[in-house]
Amino acid sequence: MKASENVVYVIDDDLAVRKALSKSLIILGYSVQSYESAEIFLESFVPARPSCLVLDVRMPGMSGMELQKELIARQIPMRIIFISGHGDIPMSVNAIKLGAIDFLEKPYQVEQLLTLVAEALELDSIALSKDRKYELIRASYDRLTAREIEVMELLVAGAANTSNKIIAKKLEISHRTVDDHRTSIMAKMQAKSITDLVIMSNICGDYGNLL
Amino acid sequence: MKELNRDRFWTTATILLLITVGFVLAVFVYRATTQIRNALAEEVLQQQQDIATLLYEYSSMIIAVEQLRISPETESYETLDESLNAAQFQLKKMRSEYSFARLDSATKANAYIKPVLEDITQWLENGVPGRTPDDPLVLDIIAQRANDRFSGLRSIAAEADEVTQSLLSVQSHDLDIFRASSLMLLSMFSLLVIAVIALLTRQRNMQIRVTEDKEEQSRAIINAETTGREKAERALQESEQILRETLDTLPSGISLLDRSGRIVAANTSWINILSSSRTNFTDGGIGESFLDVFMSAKSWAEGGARGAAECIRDVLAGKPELMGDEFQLGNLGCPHWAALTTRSFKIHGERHTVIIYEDVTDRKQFEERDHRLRAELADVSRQTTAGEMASSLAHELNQPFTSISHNCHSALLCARDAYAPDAALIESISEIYQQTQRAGNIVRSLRQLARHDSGSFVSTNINKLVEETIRLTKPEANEKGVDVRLSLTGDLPEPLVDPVQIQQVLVNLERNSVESMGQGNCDPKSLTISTTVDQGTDIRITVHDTGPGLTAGIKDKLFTAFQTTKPDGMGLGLSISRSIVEAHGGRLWFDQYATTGTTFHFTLPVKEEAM
Repeated sequence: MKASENVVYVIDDDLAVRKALSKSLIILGYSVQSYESAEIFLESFVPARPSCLVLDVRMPGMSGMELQKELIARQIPMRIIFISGHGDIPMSVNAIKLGAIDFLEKPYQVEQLLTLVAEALELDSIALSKDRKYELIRASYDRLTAREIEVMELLVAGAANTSNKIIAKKLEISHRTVDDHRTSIMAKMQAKSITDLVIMSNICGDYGNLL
Repeated sequence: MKELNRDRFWTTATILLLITVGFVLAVFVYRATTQIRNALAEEVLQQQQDIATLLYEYSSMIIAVEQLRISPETESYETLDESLNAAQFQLKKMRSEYSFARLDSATKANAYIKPVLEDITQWLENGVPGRTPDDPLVLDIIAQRANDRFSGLRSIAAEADEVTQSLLSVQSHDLDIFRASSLMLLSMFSLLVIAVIALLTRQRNMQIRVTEDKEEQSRAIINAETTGREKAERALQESEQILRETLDTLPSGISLLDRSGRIVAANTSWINILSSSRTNFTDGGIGESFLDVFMSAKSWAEGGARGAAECIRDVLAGKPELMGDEFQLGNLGCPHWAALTTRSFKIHGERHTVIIYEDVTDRKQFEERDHRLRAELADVSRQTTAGEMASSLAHELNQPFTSISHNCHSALLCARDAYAPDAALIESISEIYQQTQRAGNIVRSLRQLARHDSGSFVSTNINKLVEETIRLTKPEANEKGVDVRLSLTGDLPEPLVDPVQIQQVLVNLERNSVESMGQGNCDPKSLTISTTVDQGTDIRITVHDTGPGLTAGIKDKLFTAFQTTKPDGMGLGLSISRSIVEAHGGRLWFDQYATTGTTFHFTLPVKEEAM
């Protein structure tokens, strides 16, 4: 449990809880940002990753559930662990439907919370590396020319057994030209093989984007 | 004096009148006697002549008969017929014309001859029995019959002659003397009569007058008495009838008892009540002992009937003179409530008792239902309050527990990582940690125990529920001068709710409003509860008051448990209400920017999600 770059946001209106919770997280080496209300969090939080949010449900003003919806509306990805003194089943079901990691009723087993926090951060770091990969692919992809994109689409669709000749015929260009494009694509995308290209295309597909 | 003069005048006038009448009468008598004398003379002569004529005709008839006996010829028959008819004609003439009774000769002759003539006529026509009219024997018989009476008739005629002679021979001056003396006598008699009449008349007049006066007086008195008595009697009858009708109209059964406790009279309702309560007594049990009648009613047999009978017995004895109480009669399966009022009083030393029986079953049942509703509401209120208290308490305790847990955990980590870990310290901290966890578990299980069931969800008409709730709480509001109004939207969909819990919410909101208006001196004090359809499917219930409204400080803590502005409040009402509404899948909130009063809303979704 290293990584001091792992950020845990804590929101709870009860000062004693907030402090104790923060302390047990800090001891474990997490970087903790604590807030006494959802509103203050939204105003002042510094986005950092990998991160997760330990969120109290019932607070004066904006409730935990409302904050969850607000974050979704603002398209801020956030792993949330709810902690509640008032938790009830419909509320927890709803929260988990909306993507929360879990819903704990106070007083919970501290270990349980810590495990969940670790899991959440793990998930976020996987997501983060995926995000980073996507961003790299995206950046490489953006450097391709229009013709290269056409060629690449056909390469990915036909996978390994697609010959240059077929592509040349489809695009009505010479197979030598196709070969040039192929070499250029592989260089720009930093792909060692067609298989690499297909994996990249799949990653992008997860984000709902082209390829 | 005046009256006496008048009397004398009338008496004199009467006497004079009577004298005049007497004089006229005397003259009349004089003339009449003269006329009678002439008429008598005339008639005497007439009679003599008539009888003579009859004798002549009769003898002609005998001659004709004799001739026929000698030579029966048709002519002779005719002669006989003629003479017979003449004789009969003469008889008729005599019968009809004489009017003086003293001239009895004619009557005698008539009676003497008439049957003979009739017989002869008969025989001539039909013959005698066994003989025809032609038979000469018939003529013999006729001759025999006629001859028999001939000498008799002759002697009557002679008698008539004699009477005539004697009457006509009376001297005329004798008659005059008679007339004069009779006149004098008549005059004197008249005078006497007049005097007597005058005297009698006067006396009688006076008597009559006195009697009349008396009669009139007494009649007046009698009249007065009669009409007075009649009037009084009529009035009495009328008031009795009115009383009777009134008593019969009353729904309560009323019976009147005598000293010994027997029913003397009863109104219609009592008779009806008794006949529907399965007794053996009809007609209200009049003449029977009330207690016998009362105890014999099978419908009242169990329950408090014995106690009621005891009370009635006491009043009959006159111990308390008035007793009124409600008794449950009949068995538990068919409970029946009666209010019995018994009162005894004395009239002329005689004790009478009135028993009024009123069926109050409906009211009692209504009261019981009301009571049950209130109790239910109070019970739920207690339960939810207890639940909410436990829940709030749990929440309040959970915060420090959570904090302690975290601190223990941190302390343990620090202690273990220390340069020289202290085993005793670590043990103590881990003990604290474990005990905190245990305490937390206890609180959690307590909260689960107290969390109210959401079992009794039923499809409910919210308008009816609001009306029923207001009926329970309105008296309290009115007592504080608050006017409660409803503004309900008809035809609302019926959501699945726990009616008693929703009532609890309504009662909480209503009480808050009423109390806030009671604290502030606002006017008017009015509370409006309205129901509307919200966002198409939900029902929204709004409670609006004209109170002082919410201050900014209160608004923030409004739904926090144990926060209250009321001196004796627990601070749970709104947090309970919100819990209930949220458990129903609805929302409870208030108008942040209301300018007047306070307005709370809560919604109830009609399509209930799985609960």
